[in-house]
Amino acid sequence: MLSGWTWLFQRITAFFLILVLGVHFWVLHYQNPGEILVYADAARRLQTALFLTVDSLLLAFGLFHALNGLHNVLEDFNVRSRSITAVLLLVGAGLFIMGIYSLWQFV
Amino acid sequence: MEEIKTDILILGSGGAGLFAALHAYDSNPRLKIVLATKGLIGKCGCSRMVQGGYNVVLDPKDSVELHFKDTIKGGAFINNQELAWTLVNDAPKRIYEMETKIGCFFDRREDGRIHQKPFAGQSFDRTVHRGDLTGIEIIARATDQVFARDITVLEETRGLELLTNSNGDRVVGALLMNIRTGQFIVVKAKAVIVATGGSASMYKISAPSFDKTGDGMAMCWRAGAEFVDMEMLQFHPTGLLAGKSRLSGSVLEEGLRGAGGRLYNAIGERFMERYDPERLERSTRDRVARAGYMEIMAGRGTPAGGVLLDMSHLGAEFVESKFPGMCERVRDIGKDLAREPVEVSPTAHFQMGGVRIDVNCYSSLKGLFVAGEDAGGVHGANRLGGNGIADSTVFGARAGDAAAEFAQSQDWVPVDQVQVKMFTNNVLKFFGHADGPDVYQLRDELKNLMWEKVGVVRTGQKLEQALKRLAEMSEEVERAKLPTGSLRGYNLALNEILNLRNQLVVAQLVAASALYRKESRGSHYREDFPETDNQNWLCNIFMRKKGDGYFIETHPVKFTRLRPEDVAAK
Amino acid sequence: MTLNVKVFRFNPETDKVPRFDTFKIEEFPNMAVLDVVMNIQNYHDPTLAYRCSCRIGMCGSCAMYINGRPRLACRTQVSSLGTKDITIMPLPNLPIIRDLAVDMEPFFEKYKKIKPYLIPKQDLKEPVICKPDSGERELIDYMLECITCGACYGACTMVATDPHYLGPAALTRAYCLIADKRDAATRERLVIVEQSEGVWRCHTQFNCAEVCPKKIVPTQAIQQLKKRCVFKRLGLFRG
Repeated sequence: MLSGWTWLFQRITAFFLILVLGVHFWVLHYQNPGEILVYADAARRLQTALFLTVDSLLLAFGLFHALNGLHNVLEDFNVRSRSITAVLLLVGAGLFIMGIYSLWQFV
Repeated sequence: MEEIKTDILILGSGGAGLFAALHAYDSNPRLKIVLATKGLIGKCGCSRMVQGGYNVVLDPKDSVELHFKDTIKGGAFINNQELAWTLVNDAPKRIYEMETKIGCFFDRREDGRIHQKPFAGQSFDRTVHRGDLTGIEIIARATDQVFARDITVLEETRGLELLTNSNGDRVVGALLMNIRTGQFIVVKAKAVIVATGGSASMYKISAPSFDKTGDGMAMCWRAGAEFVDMEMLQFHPTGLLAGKSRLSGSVLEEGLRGAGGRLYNAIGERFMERYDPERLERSTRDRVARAGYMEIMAGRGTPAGGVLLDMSHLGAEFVESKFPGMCERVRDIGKDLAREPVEVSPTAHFQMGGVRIDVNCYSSLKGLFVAGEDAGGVHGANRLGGNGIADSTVFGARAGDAAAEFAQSQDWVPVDQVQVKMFTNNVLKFFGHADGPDVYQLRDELKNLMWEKVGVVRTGQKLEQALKRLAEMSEEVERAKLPTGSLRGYNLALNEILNLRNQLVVAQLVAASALYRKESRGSHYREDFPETDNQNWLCNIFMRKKGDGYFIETHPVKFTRLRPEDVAAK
Repeated sequence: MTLNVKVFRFNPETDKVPRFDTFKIEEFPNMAVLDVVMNIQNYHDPTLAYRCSCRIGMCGSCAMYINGRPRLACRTQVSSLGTKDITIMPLPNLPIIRDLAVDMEPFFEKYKKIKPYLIPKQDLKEPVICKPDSGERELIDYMLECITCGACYGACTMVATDPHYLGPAALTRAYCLIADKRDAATRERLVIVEQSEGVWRCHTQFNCAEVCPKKIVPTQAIQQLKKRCVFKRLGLFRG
């Protein structure tokens, strides 16, 4: 039974998401070198280790939070099966790989 | 017809029934135990409704001798002293059991030990409680423990009749009816424990839950068990008056008077000064109830027919913190118990009389055990507040232990199918009564009749009138109608007929016994014999069925431990 | 004053669909909804089925769905409803036996699942010494007022969507035992309530708290349990 852990991580990821969302807005609105955001600035930023780490984590946590939330909703309606959990895990893993792959294009 | 074979059958799931089940099971887990209850387990009956608390000697400064003396004095010396002695001695064991095995948790003092609050009629503060709604804790926890054991529980299943052998001296089981389906169940049992409670609900103003209609007593009577002191029925002095609402008659707990609550009549006199100048409101229930009734009868009551209970002088904060349950209930009828006087009236509450038992709950019939309010003799002519739930748990536990021992050494006795047939027909016949007396009108009449003629103040003449009418009503109820097309299952009208039939049996016993006792004692007050007559009436009245009538006789009380003069001397 | 009372009628054995019967009932002072139901059954239609026992809010037998909300019929004053139109239905989320009487079995099945009985510690021989201000009993004492009426169970959306969810009352009882220093089976019970049909189904909607006639907040108990479950996972749970 994973329920205890998933519940805890749902809370931890929620906290992290709120925090990083704040950072995200702050960076986008106040930390631009130019007046408006341009591709080159964004690409440059994504080459720093800090941003890579934060964005990878954001991706992982966001996916977990969303998919576990979906899982919870299904469970609330008494829709329970190993295959649903497996599908959600696969979807999560697939999207995560895709996201990491696109992030690494900037390195 | 469904048949169940069991070692022990228990009827009732109040304090006595639950403790009987737990003790019977624990003394021998291999025994098959069936617990049948008229409502949902732990929810019906009056133990659940216990408010004030549980009298028990825990403090080293207190003693069982003192508790015993209070109980005997409160009972006006006609208690069965061995039963009362058992009560006070077993009570501490039961409280320990509840706190360490069953899981109850009672209110604590500052130092962390169990708190004991003052109650009326007691020489020491010995009432253990949980707030002012103690019964919830005791019964809910005991019910939880039943869930932990392999005990068969039949909910919404009422006892109809006890089944006896051909000689009529051995109870061999019982006929039950599943209320939900209306189907009969024959239970063949080595031992039957009856613990269904009394019939105070037959009065216009009464405290008990609605399901408590003297079923066990009536069954025992019809089966031929011997009864004792049936005239002794307690009126609680402070029943809430709420007009036509069914809330009327519900008890405002004893602790209110224990804490210093005062009673006033409509012209503002603290009337207890006249009736018991020494103990005032903390006098025993019989005296306070009668005093209130006398005031009302003398025209000094409120327009609604009550007297006033005032707590406001104790401070609103104190009252609200100590009696939250009472305040809340009074608030339901738009009054503020902590800040203003509340209208109360004596309310029919508890039957001291009942089936004669010994200290192990054996009745006069082999195989029949009786515990709790159905049994008589423990409280004599008046019960002390807080001794009621003590009685149920103490004697329930004893009945369970005794029945378990009995069942191990006994065999089943065959059930008489002719008897079963007769009993089932006696229920099914109502489905053919398209017309006849209305059961609810009869019930309302019974309540008024008992209140007026067999109530707080009785006279020979009124009792005779009551007996005459009760006999007629007993015939009328047998003709009561059921709406055409009535279903067998969940038929409340049919159940009301069966209730009324039982209440009428108990009502007649109460009235007949009250007519027989030509003196006033404890809860029994005869206007035509207003004095307590220790010369002739330090007696118990025994009754048993004889043909369609009854046999009645008196026996002097056996003063095995305490004589009236021992107390008077001090 | 006359009340217009609509009463839900249904016999699952013979009726395909439920119906409402309407009764005109004279209101009197201090009238509770239970008085209304009893007056209907006693004097208007004796075939009506309902359940009640103590009539003073101690037994928890008469929870019904009254004007869109689970309430104890005996503790609901007609005057508090603020209308003369009363609709009385059986408690939701439970099978109907007939009319207003529901089968409480699923509720108690779940209640039994959490082992609702004290399993005393070996060395418990006499009443524990426990100072009222020591905080040892946490939230237990006020929660013991629970009368298992099922109002919370009838109000809970999560029970409605997931029939396996243990529900507020059972979890509250579990908390009372898990937080009780006298109990020896706290871990055992935590394992039961940390299943996915246990505490995690509670989404803190507080419906249970809103309808509880004893003013208990089961959500509070459930959050306490969640906390303990996580601590247990992290190896930080003592007791």
